[in-house]
Amino acid sequence: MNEIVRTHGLTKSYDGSPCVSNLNMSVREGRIYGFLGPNGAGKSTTLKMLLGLVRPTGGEITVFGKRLTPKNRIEILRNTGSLIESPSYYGHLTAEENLEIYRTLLGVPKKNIDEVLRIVRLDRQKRKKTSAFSLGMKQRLGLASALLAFPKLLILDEPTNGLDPAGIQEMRELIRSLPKKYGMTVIVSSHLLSEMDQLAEDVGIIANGRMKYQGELSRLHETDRSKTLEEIFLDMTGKDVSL
Amino acid sequence: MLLKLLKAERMKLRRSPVWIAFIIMPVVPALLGTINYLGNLGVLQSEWYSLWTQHTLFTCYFFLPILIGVYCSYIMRLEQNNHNWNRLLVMPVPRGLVYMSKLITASLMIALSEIWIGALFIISGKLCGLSAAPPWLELIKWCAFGTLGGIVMAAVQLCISIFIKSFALPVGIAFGGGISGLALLAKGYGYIWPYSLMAYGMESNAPQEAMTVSSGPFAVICIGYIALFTIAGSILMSRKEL
Amino acid sequence: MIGLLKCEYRKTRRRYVFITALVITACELVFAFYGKYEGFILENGWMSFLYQLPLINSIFFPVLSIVVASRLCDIEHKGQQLKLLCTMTEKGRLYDAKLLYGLGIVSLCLAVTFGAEIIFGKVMGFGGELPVKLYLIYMLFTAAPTFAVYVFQHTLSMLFKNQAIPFFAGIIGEFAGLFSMFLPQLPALRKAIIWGYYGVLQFVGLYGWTKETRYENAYFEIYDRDWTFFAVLVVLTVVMYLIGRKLFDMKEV
Repeated sequence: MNEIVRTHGLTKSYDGSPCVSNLNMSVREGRIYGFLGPNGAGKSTTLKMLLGLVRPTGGEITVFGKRLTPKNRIEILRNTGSLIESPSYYGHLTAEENLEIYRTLLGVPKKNIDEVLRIVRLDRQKRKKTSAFSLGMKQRLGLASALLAFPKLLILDEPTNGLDPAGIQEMRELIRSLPKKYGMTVIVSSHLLSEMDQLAEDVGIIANGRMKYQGELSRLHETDRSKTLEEIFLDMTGKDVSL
Repeated sequence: MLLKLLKAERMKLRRSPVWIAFIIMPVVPALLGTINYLGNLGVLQSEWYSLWTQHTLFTCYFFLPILIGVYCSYIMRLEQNNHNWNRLLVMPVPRGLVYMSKLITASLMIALSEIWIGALFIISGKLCGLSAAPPWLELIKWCAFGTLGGIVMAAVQLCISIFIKSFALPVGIAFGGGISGLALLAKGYGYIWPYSLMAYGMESNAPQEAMTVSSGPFAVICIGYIALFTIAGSILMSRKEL
Repeated sequence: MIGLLKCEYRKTRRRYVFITALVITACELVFAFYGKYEGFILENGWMSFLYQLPLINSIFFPVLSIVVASRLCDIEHKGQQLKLLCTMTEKGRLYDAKLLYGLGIVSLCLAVTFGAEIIFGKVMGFGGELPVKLYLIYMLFTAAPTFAVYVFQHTLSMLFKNQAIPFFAGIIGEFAGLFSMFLPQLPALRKAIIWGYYGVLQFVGLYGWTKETRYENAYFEIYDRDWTFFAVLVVLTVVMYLIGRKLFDMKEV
C-alpha cells in the first residue's frame, strides 16, 4: 500500500528544548490515521510541519511521495485540506462568503461550496455572519473549508472540539465515509482514545514529542492482553497528564 | 494567481467600512483649509498654489501616514484574528504573492484618496471663484507622486505589521514615521527617506518651487523602495511560522 | 480597585504600552524643541513656549491617547477576555480600572513632557524667571483636553472590537481640532469639539510679527484664562465618562 505521508527523524525545538523529537510517522493511502496524545504532546506542531506552517529543525517529510520543500509546497498543498487548532474564519463575512474566498484561491468550481455546506449541514445557515456562529458551527465551517477542494489528504486537528455528542457522532460517521466516497486519506488527531475507537484503522501515539506506538489499532490490544485499551494508552502517555 | 489573491482581498474587505475614513478624512482639510484660505487672502496670494498648501500641509505630514498605517494594520489584522493565517498559508499560493496582494490593495486605497484630494481641491477652488485655470498638469503630478510615496509607506508598514501583531503599535510607528519624514524633509533629505517621499511628492510646503530631485529620479527612488520592501515583505512572509 | 489596577499592570507586561507612549512623547519633545533659539525667541522663551506648545500638544497627545487606549483595550478583544472578566467583576469597574490605568500612563507622559520643557528652557537660558503660575495653568490646560480625548478614545476602544473605528474617529477629530486652531474666524468650531480645546485654553498670543520685520516689533500678550470653557470641558469629560460607562455596561459581550 502506498504511503501518503512519511516523516523521518522529524524534530522541532523551540529555543533548544524539543517539542517534537525524532518522529517517524507513516500514513497509508486510503486509511484513517488517528494521531493520539495528551495535550501538549506535540500533535499540532507535527501537523503544522506537515503543512509547512512550521519549519522543522531536523528530519524530513515526504507527502505524496515528494519531499516537502518550499518549492513543491504549493503543489502538495493543492491536494491537501486541513483544519488546525481552532477554525479560521473572517467574522464579518457569512459562511458562504468565507468559503468563496478559499474557493477563489483554490480555483475549484462554485458548486463545491454548496456541496461541502451540505456535507457539514450548514446549508441553511450559509447567509449568517460567522461571528454569530456557535463554536460547533465554526468547527463545521472549518471542516467545510478543509473539504472544499475534495483533497487527497485531509488533516484534521481535534475536529470534534466544541461539538455536542450528536455532532461528535455525526463527525465520526462523516470522517469514516470520506476514504470510500472520495478516496481521501485522513489524519485525525485527538487526545481521547475512545474517540478513535471504530474510527481510525491505524494509530500513532505520541507523548512528550516522541512516538510511543504506531500501527493498527487492533494490534494495540495485543501489546498487553491483561489491560484495556484505555489503560494501555494511559501507560504510554503518562497517567497524570492524559484526560 | 495574483489576480485571485486580489479578488480574495477584495472579498475580505466586504462589509468593513474602512474606506469611509479615506473619504471623510480629506474633507476636513478641504473644508477648513478653504475657509482659512478665504480668511487670509491678504497673505496667501498665489491662488491655486496657496490653496493646495492649505489643503494638504497637515494631510501629508500627519494624517495620511496615520491613515495608511491604520489601513495596513487592519488588513493584516484580518488574518491575525480567528487563526486566519492557518488557513491562508495552506492555500496553494506563493507566500510572497500574499504580501504583494495586500500591498496592491493598500495602494489602490491610497490612489483613490489622492484622486479624491485632487477632486476636492478643484471643487473648492472653483467654489472660491479662483479665476485662473487650475494647474492640471501639476495637480496630476502631485497626486501621482503622492500615491507613489504613499505606496512606499504602505510597503514599510505592511512589513512592520507582519512581525508586530498589535494593531496600535504599527500605527504609532507610522505616526512617528510621518514626523521623521517632516524632519528629514526640512533637512533636505526628503527624497531619500521612505516616510517623507509622499510629502515630498505632493510638494505641499512649496508647490511653486521646482523639486530638487526631478520627476524621473524621484519615481525611480520610489519604485526602488517599493521593490526593496516587497522583497523584504515576501521573505518575511515565507519565513513566517505559526 | 487596587486589585483591578494591578491586574491591568500584569496584563500589559511585555506589551510595551508604556515604552510606546514614551516614544511618542519623545517625538513630541524633539518636534517641540526643534528650531533656532536666539534673539527675541530666546529672551521671551517662556512665553514663546506657552504660545507654541498648545499646537504641538494638539497634534501629539490625541495620537498618544488613541494608541494607549487602543493597545490597552485590544488585549481583551484579541483574547476574547471580556466574557471571562465580566463574570469576575462588575463591568463598570472594569471600565474604570482600565480608564484609570490608561490615564496614569498618559499622566506620566504629560509629566515627562512638562518636566523636559522646563529643563530645556533652563538649559537654553530663556530670559527672565520661569512664570511658575502660568506654567501650572498651562499644565492644567494641557492635561484637561488630553484627559477628555482619552476618555473618548477609551470608550470607543472598549465598545468596538474593530480598533480601526476608534483610530479613524480619533484621527478625524484630531485633524479638525488642529485646523480649528488656525481658524480664529470660526471660534465656535474649536469649542464644539474636544480636540479644539488645546486652542480654546491657549492664553498667550503673538502680535506684531510680519514677514518683513520678523520679530522687530513683535510682542507676546497674555489673555485672560478661559475658566468658563475649562469648566465646560470638565463637565463634557464627566458626561462622556458617564455615557461611556453606561454604554459599556449595556454592551453584551
